[in-house]
Amino acid sequence: MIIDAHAHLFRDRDYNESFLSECRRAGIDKICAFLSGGVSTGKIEDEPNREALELRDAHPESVIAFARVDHAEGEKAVKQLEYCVEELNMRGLKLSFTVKATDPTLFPIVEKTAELKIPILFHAFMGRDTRPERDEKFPGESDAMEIVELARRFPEAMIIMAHFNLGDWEYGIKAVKSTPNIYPCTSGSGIDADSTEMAVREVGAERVIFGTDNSIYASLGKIYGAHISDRDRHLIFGENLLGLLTKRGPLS
Amino acid sequence: MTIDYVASMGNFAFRYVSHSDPVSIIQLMDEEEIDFALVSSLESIMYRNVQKGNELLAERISKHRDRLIPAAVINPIYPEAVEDTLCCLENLGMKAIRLYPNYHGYDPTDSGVASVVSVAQERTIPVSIAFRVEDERQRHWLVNPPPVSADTVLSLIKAFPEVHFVLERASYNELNRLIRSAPEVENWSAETSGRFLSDLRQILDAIGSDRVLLGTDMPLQYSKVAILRLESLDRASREKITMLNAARLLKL
Repeated sequence: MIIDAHAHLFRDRDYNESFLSECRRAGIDKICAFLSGGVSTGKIEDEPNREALELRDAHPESVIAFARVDHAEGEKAVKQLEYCVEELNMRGLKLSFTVKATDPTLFPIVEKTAELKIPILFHAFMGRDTRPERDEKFPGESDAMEIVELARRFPEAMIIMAHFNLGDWEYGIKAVKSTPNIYPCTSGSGIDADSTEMAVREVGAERVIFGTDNSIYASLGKIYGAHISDRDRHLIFGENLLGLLTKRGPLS
Repeated sequence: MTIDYVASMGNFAFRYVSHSDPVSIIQLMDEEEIDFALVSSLESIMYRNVQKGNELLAERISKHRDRLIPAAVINPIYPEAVEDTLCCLENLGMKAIRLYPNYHGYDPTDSGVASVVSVAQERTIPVSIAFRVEDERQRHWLVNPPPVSADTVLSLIKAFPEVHFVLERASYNELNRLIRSAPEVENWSAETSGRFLSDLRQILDAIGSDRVLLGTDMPLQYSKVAILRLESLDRASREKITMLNAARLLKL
């Protein structure tokens, strides 16, 4: 089974449907879908979970809905997350580049994900300090080391670090190696040879998670093309993520 | 027969490359059923005197010329660029020229470029222009190559209508700029490698399968990605992209 941990949706039903169809054609069985961070910060009045729920309800066999909340809404955001998971059966949380992993206003939300036993998919860049241009474009973006700081503060949280190929992937893998509750995700357009192999060798195949970040063939190619065992490929493509998604119970 | 038009060999300045010698490159080719690859020196991308890298490449592949076709990396603004070009084509048996304007610090419209391209014109040798090597987001902290301007590339292409140019590692947006600016200019081809080539179908619709080449960018990138990008195409288009177009350019 292949599960995509990182599928962006937009306020465009045709696009969302066509992306899902393309995933199916490419052999992806399920997608973890959420409204893109560029569309909304996740504040409640934006209805940031509408698209994910609509697509999930239309294709329950293929779509797992991840929630969006806005950390700036404080306790309301925590309650919203609880409602999304317990009442709407959303099975993960997406955090984007609007808030640093070290921002204390995020902590109650992360604590809640641990209590609800759902994973967080967290946008990150690898080696941000040496690339000042990232500050201009994405001032709230987290570096891999900031994700590590968050994960160590909340060792019960399950943090999928998005696109470890974004930036210096060797830095990203080394950064998270010793933090067992971080799961580096292969999503994104980065297709450097040796990156998947290094993740498997250094972090262990049991912690590497497949995703696309909507780059379907780039993402599949770096797993199919990697010199790793079939067992490792199987773990990365779905088994590892399935384990995280079912911590709270069967997917239904 | 399958021909990979975008491959290289050797060591790269900024990271370890696990498949750097002819035997391991041929192993990668065999995995993807690629019969021939046009390879150039990875070292020459960062060497000041690129010719040393060309010589090293010719020596390394001397026993593997049945599978590996050498391409010359030329820095047109370095002393003896024309002499080096002639040496590569006439003495070292190289079949194409590859230019890296942003890594070697020149503009495609510089006069030195015209001198080198004139040599290619006289001998009907194709000229590749690399828009990038690594993704800008993962650049080394010491090196920040400026973008290659699609407009200046177009000026060069227009100035040499008898030369065929191959635009390597170009993004969809860069190719689209050429297409929109001068749809009548057809003496260039695109290729399938690169993390930014997100929409091959649209490129094919715009320029046709006669002007697209299989490029994997091995061993820097996972070659499987380029192969997967072609899977959904019809057989006739695949045959042109993987074989006929390159065979024509390289006179195989």
